Amino acid sequence: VRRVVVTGLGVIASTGKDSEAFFTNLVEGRSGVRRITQFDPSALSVQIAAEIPDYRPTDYFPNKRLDLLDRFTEFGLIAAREAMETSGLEVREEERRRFGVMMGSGMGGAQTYEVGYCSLYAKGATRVHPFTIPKSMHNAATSQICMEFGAQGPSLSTSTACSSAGHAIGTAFHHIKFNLADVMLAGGSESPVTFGIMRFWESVRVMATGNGDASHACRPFSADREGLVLGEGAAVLVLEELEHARRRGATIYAELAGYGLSSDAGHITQPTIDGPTRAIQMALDEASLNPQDIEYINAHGTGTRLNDSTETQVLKQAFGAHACKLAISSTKSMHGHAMGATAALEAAATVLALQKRVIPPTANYTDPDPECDLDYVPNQARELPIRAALSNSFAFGGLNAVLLLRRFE
Amino acid sequence: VEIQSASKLEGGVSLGISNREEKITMDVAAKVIEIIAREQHLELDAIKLDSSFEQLGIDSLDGVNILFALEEEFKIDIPDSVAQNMKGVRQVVDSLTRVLEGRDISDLVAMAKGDTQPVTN
Repeated sequence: VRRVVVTGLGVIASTGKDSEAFFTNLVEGRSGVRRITQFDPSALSVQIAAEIPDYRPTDYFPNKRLDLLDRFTEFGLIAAREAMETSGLEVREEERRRFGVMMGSGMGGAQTYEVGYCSLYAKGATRVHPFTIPKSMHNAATSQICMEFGAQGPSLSTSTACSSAGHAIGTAFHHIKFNLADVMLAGGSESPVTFGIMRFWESVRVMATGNGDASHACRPFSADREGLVLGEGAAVLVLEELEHARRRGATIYAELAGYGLSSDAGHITQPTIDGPTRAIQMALDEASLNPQDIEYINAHGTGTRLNDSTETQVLKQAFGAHACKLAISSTKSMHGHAMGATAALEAAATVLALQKRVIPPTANYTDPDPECDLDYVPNQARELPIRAALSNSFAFGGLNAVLLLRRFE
Repeated sequence: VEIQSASKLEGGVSLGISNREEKITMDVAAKVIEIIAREQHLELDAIKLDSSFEQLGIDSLDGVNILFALEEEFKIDIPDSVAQNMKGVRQVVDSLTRVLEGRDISDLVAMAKGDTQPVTN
């Protein structure tokens, strides 16, 4: 059986513009949620988001290149660059056809769509910029990453809302495991902080306003939780077949050992218990692990009333009595809910938790909720030499993705 | 951006038209070069009237982008049948001149000299 390991990591998020800064801030419990700066949010009832602070595209790309990049693609490229750099990987010409890219995004080039629609509908323009399509298409991030690194192997983009990046990473994992590729860049990117999308989310009534205290707005599993906070960013993992990694003496961060996916086929927004439970079981089965072998769960943990209580029930169903022994944390409390990128940010956090033997906390935890009565690693990081962990993603639409990562030994 | 004066353009433009109209065509050429330079992020003097798109590194998608910019700036529609013959700077100027036929030329001169605001989105 071909084994798959993580040999590189790249992140750009509100909590850090590279993977080291990202993880350090998570461990220290620092939130990236602030008042929105990309536009004037005064007209919105929700005026906060986990935006990347002081982001200047020209720090990363020449102007000619930027003409064709939506913000979500920029983030994807930046994360992919760090992932490649940390991996030390140099893909030779003859290896390119075994090297692919899989990126998730829920909204794709939403900012570009918005500019186009605004000029058509609001300003009465009769034509829009010809780069609107190549900038906004959901596969733009995947394709631009392929072009930058010469990846000519199996490549695609996924769009399954909050699970997008989980499905991208899982699918990439299986492509290596089942011998369709040797190296994959996999993750997700999202740039959902626009006036329109904020309005759309407001109307769903699942958003935290923060009441003037942005950094404490997102309080997953806490009794006083008031909803989710949108975030932006990207994360990319370098996935590599174990022997391929060994031959070149690569640093191995962790092993990706299992992937489970399922569909609730229930409700378009309300999660079920059965669907996510089956995804967890599937990931455990693939890795040939027992529920008792799992020590840490990077939870979906959005901070909404319904998600967090349902996810707690899911963990009880999947792990039985062992659920009480799990260390569970929602890093969304700090990097926000980055939609199609979030599963990649959380997979990166899980990989680093395994490698650095420290679990980032659930920030902003205040009061216990009787419906959420497990160990959510409240507010303080925990040093723990964990060996196996899950990263959960349960999307709107009932499409679930669970990644099982373990320390490589 | 300072518009390059027509007299600096190499190659000249000979369309078999009167001096007055030739002057106008030179103004169009200057505006076209300015637009190409802006859209391609090139220096003005890197673009000659005889430059082909290929020489300037302008691919098919770049070409569509330049057409869009020309349509916006000159407030015209360039039909596909005309657009597909635009493979170099001179062809753009020639085609544009034909598209602009019958229009009030003083407007165009003013626009080419940068006296009017281009249409923006």
